[in-house]
Amino acid sequence: MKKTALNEEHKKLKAKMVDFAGWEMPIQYAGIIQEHKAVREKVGIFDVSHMCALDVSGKSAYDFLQLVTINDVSKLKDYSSQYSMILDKEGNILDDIIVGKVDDFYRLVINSSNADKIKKWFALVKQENKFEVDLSYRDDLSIIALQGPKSTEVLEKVLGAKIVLNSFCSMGIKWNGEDISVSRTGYTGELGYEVFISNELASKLWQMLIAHDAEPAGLGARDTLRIEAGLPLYGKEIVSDVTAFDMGYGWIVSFSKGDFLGKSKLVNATKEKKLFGCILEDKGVLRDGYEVVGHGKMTSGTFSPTLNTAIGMFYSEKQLKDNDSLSVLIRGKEFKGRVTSLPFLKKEINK
Amino acid sequence: MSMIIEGLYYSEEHEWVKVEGNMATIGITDYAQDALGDIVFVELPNIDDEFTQMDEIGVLESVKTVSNIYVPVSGRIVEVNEAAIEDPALINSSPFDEGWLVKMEMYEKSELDDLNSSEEYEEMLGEEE
Repeated sequence: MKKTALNEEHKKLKAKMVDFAGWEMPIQYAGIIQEHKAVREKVGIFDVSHMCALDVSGKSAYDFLQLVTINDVSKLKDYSSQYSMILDKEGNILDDIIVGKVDDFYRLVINSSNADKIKKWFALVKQENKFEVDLSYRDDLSIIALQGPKSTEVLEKVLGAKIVLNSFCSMGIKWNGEDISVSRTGYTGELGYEVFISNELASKLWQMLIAHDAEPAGLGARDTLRIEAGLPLYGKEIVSDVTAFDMGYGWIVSFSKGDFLGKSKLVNATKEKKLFGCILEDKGVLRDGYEVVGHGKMTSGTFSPTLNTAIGMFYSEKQLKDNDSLSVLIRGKEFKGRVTSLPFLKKEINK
Repeated sequence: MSMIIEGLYYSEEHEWVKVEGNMATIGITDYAQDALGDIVFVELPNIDDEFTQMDEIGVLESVKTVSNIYVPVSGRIVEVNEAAIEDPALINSSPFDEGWLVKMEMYEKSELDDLNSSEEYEEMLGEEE
């Protein structure tokens, strides 16, 4: 199994480790509920170094990215980023990604589970189009996500710098003689940052964040947090037969920028499906794969530590509104639930 | 290292059985609660339900996973732990005491021979870790 530079830190903290897409990663430290609440109420830190950072540079970098992603890269100012997707030529989703413009290069963050697939895909597209583009996979970098209402305060103390960033913007900071990058992004629905730092300095930053009361949080809490925030996950909500429109992310599709791979499927998309939330009213826990009677299978489900009830997401082609009643089959029995629009937490994050 | 209590019987599925006369109190072990993580939902059988050894009698759901509960011995349910249904976190915080699951009247005490002693269970855990 592959290990991140923080692997020893997780083991020192007695984390439960699991195989996640070929990486040995912490699923939990103290417990999912405690970690989840730390992120909602204070600040938590996640090792997300298994995600694949790719720097794209060279003469054709812009043309390459306009072709392989569905969002419009021309909208990116220096030190800003956008949510986007990579489609194959038929329009099936290969990955959902973040595309950031730094200054003279772009940085993409790719799901670890799709990294090998995307590497092959990008190499092929580069070759077919004879793009003069340099694809530099940054295995030398670690990524630490710091998420929660106190994340600015803690990060400023540890980095010794003022951090003023709008959502989806980034900045470079000099720390211990190294240029590190801080981006205001995350996957929890909270104010938060992702710090790109060398593997050599990653443990030092990790330890200092913990010394400033950041709670280490694992993949378990990452999942409950993203579900409460209604954020889709590749392999669950994001599968080959859905489109960005179905997911409620039509705004990332740029038809005006010109041609891009997979465009025709989106042009012809029926837009009949929509992603909804289900709040379980009976006691129980929702899981992916459970049948939502009359609609389809639940794509994700969990117990929400914030709402203290089970929640899940599902696609439906029907027109549903908040509080419509639902019935979910759990172990052959019908459990009562109701519809809610996403996200589950209608929380204002201070901008 | 997980806590193990002497004098109890242990199943391969990480349940414990405490025997007093014909009565068996059943719960899950410290190892099991730790492996499950935060337990948030418990489904237990009804009083007077009858089961044979290794029947599935209920479900434990933690935030991340779901696990079936099996009866280590045959018998009739005489009591279920309402407090644990109300507050499943009790099973995490006190698996051998406040977090017990059901009490049964045993039909076949000889079935206890199929279960592990605390020493055998400790050995079994050693192999799993």
